[in-house]
Amino acid sequence: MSVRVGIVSFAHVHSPAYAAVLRDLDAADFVGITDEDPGRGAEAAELFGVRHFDSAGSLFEEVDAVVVCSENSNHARDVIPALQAGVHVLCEKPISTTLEDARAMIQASDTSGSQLRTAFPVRYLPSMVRARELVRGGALGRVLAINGTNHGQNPGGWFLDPELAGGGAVMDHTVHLADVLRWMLDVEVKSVYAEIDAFFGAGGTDDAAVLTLELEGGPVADGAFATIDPSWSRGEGYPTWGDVTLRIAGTSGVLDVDPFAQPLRIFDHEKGTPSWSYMGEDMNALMLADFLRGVAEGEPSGASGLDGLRTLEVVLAAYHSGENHEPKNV
Amino acid sequence: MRVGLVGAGFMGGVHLNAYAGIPEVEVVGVADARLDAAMAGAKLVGARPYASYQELVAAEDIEVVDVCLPTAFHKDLALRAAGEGRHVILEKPIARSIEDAQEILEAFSGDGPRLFVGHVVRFFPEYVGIKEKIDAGDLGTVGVVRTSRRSPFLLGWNDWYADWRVSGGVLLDLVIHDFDFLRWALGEVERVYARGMLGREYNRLDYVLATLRFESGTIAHVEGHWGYPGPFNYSIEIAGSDALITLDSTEPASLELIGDTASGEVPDLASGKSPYENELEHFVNCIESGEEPIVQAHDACEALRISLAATESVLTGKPVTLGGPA
Repeated sequence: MSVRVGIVSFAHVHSPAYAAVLRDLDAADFVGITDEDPGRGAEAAELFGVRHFDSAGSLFEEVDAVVVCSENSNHARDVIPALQAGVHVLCEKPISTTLEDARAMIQASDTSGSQLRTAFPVRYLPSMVRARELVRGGALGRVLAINGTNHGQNPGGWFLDPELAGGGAVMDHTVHLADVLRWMLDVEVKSVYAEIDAFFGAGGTDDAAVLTLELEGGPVADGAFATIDPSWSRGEGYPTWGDVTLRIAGTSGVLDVDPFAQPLRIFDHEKGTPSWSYMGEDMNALMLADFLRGVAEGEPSGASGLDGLRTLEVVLAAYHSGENHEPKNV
Repeated sequence: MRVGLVGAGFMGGVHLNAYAGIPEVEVVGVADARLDAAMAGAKLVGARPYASYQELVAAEDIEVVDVCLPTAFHKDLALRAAGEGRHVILEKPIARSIEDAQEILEAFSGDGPRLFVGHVVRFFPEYVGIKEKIDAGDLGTVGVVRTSRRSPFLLGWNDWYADWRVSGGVLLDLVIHDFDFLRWALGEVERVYARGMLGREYNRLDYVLATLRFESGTIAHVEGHWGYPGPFNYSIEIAGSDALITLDSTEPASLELIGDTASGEVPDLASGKSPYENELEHFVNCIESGEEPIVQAHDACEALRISLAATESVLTGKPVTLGGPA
């Protein structure tokens, strides 16, 4: 049985990729799209061959689940009514820009019984899944430290507007690796130190940072430390969009994880700039299929609203530390 | 120029091999308390072996002393050689403490013998190329720099690398290379925050992640690993507003010997001379010409200051602000 699903807002750059997956997934009955910008919504609906709904409420009446892709600070506005209408929600990351919003969303899920999940697709990359098995199986002994990066390009648009995005690169990218660390190592983040700045053209927001996290809990990595580089330090000349990497150092081994390591290097005589071509699994498809399975079976997996909140806490602690040059407890 | 080398361990061997390619230099004697090590080292360059520095200088007329002793023993020998009017080439780090380093600098502050500290990364053509591109403005504003240096755990005399009081661990012995290069390329460091194994566990495995904030604003992330289970490797990435440069020693080299992963061996380079040969030849030329070296003794002291600040940060859990150059 396929799940009736819609998309709320095409504001986020990931929404076209999600729409393409939902159109093709057998488990999905992709019903339609709503958007506070009706022109953008109608255009997207036409592109993907689905209905355009002129209000979120009218979409909620015809679907079991939605993916919310509005601007970060508008997530609560779009997620809470969906949950209250009995619609399950996969919310784009970061879950929100304030703890209050995240808590209200979780509360709405608890009260309504509708599922709230956070879109952390990196968990689904096969090398990440295997890394988790290896680490938890003791392949590295005790984990001592993790050196992580999530680089990208300056995305432009509303991502540079602190009102809508809640911050820059630190808000945009930190959450992916913070989530992976918690999920992979069964730890919580105890404190954060951050150096934050802007160098790569983001203007009024941050685009460069290095975060240092103290981790606690769990059998394999209690007391370990980690760094996250979420910088938008890639540009037009870079052969791919960016990276997600982890170097995990343990007492008896090292695991270097680079899921987007590119096997094909393409040198196009016309374009002049080399590009790398990713041949691996589509993490968005794996994540969306798991979300729909969770809805169909009533047994969600993947990242919860609480997981989204925990990673937002790391981001907010990083901004605090960046201002004060002191580690900040989470 | 007549050179005597003291300390024929791992680095001593590297220096001796480099001297073999420098025609201006005659290594006349090699001293090591382990006479078999002195003999093996001496054989590399056709020198005579000695069991101590004292025996070496009693028998040979040397102008330059090359010191490849464990870090904590640098000061005594450097001061003694200075008192005897001999030039000194010290392997990095200059000393185990700032006080020792300043005492050494003081001993060489006059017009007499000169001091050179082997921060060899400044003599790697690829690092020189990075600095030239930064200086030329090709990168625009340098925003985030990432470096990594991962080495097997070396077994030195009396296992001195494993004794933190003697070696200072991975921060003083390994990533000081990156601290020196970054300070050379980017200027003075304002603040350091670092996490590492000190105070947690330190058992022939030292690992550190340090964040540096430069006075220019640049943020640098430095990874150091002692006890890495694979072959020695290093990488650096410099992200500027106008360009990104990456360098990774694990990527294909112009010459690769498959099957030899001898611990600590420096990967092959495209240039005809090893960086150590470039470095030592430069020092010898500076002695002859009176020129200032590319890396001055003062720079070695400042690199040590960054390593010690990072060490303090590891131990206290707090960022450490550097007071600027002394």
